[in-house]
Amino acid sequence: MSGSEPDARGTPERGPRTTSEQPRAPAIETAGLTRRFGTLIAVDALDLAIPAGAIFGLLGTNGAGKTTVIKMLTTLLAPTGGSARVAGFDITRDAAEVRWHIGYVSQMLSADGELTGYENLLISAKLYGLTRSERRERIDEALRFMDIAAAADRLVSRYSGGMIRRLEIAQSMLHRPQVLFLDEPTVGLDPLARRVVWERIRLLRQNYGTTILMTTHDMEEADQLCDAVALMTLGRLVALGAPADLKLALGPEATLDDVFIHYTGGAAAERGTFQDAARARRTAHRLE
Amino acid sequence: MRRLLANAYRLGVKELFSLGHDRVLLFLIVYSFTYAVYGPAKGARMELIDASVAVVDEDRSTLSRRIEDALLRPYFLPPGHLAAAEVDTAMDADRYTFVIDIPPRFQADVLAGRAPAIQVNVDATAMSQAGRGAGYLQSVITQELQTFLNRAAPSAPPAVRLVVQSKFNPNLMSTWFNAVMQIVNNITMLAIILSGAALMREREHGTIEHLLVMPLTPVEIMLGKVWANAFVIVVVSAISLRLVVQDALGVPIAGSIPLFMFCTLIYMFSVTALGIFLATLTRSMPQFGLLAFLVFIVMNQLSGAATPLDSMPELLQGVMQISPTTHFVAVSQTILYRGAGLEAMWPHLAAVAGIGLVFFLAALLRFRKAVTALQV
Repeated sequence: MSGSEPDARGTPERGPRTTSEQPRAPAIETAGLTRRFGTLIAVDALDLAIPAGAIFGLLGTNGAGKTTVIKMLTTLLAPTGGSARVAGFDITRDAAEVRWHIGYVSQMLSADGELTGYENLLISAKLYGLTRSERRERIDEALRFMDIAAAADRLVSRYSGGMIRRLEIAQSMLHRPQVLFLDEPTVGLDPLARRVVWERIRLLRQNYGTTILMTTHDMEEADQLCDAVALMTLGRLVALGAPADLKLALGPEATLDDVFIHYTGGAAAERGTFQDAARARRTAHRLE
Repeated sequence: MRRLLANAYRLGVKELFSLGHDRVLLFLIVYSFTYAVYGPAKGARMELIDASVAVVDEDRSTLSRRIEDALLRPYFLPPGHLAAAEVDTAMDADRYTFVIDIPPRFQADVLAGRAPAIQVNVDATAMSQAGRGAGYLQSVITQELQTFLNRAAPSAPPAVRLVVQSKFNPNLMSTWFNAVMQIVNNITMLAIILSGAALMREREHGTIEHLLVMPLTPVEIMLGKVWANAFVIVVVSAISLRLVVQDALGVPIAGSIPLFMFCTLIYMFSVTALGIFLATLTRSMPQFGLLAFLVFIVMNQLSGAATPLDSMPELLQGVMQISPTTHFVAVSQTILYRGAGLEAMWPHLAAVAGIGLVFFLAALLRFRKAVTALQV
């Protein structure tokens, strides 16, 4: 990773820090993090500590609260209880600072289909205040890194699903964030495209030391990618650990699917909403 | 502040890029400021032109023929002829807007001073023609009677002569009025729809979420949408005013087009902010579309563009003062028809800016909550 980011707001210390400057403290830390919607407790007193440079999976049933956790950690949604720090900053008090230090790829498609891949990246780079030379360098690098350079000048609406996801990850990495949030990054992708995205996520951590927090319903994906996973159900954390340890605890032949069913099966209430289903299907449809 | 403006500028450029690739929206904009101005201005006439008329001449006298001969183009089509028994059938079939029934012995009764009646049947479903045409027919018939009676027994000229001068539209051409008001209407409609739909589209696609986790504020995101949409509409409306209104329709513009553009820019701030505010109240594009149209129709109908504000109930006049369209219609008419400058309409302009600020702040208060509420 190259040197620290330019400061578009005029204070030289601002902007994401380089890998070597990353603090020893966990990249993400939550203490009793809670979110209520009326009488519904979407996230119930979540305690997590995710070390810097980890790929961490948040697993759970539909409506378990995974997306709500991500929305709170990315400052899109205010918690109603507890606290959390991301990249060393409090998500409530220092929301603006948090946004400078994170990248986010939403479950829905964030790339603008009416712009080309290059235009999408260029606008993001400008909004993060990168200088002209940094923009050129990082966009070229991002396009190469995500293997979409040949399609840079095509409208995103003509990209394949896998290319759109890679573009979105490239977009979220332009400013070299310390923490990257991926909300179901491979939903709607075919197995081949999914594996390409996995490979790029691994390379992101390897090349840039980025901490990655991802949600997924795909146990194979969690098993392949994550150093540690947390299982949530009905807003509560029910299991936490490395996939291998969680499997071993159930038996030598156990898979992560077995772990998932073991911890969430009994409580797999029909909690996912119509909106959840509509959003997932809309995303899958657009990626086809 | 510098960063706010820079980000608002960049987000606005993104809007313009998106708009540039959206052929349907581009077509809508071009259509709104070409045919949608020319067509209604040229076709929807308020004055009496080519009205269909029939005469039931039961007298067949010199006077009855004089009356029939006085029904001339361009006001009336050549009159048709009906028997008395055919009147109801012809009017039910919508063949004539006016049917004049001249009774038997009409001329004789006039000369004898018995004040006979002429019946004028009017199809009042043709609202604007019915009102104007009935008045015009009365005037034609009275004039013909006067002339006829003067020949029979000359009388003194009238003691008073009425001289009417129609300011700002000497020939009372509805095209002059319609063309400019159509531009004002389309500016309002497009500004609400483009800005609100831009936010709804981003909410539904999820791109707004991406912007909200960037180091951007809702003010920057909203200003980006406001200036980009305002820029497009102001430029296109100025071109339309020149090419469609002045050149194609031949409507003279008395005032300064640059001044009108400046005022339109301020109005745009107000109406695009309203569009964004409406988008924050709804959860889907169809909901937004319905709400936007209902708001637009009321703002348009009661703005003074269609009918004078003075003829509305007083309470309604007061209520409509909180609509920016009411003030913008007054500003447009003052500049474009009367050729007045800023000094004549700055209170209206200040009201437009003030109302815009309220809409902008209201939208801002709801922005983040409304956007995330859709997606959690």
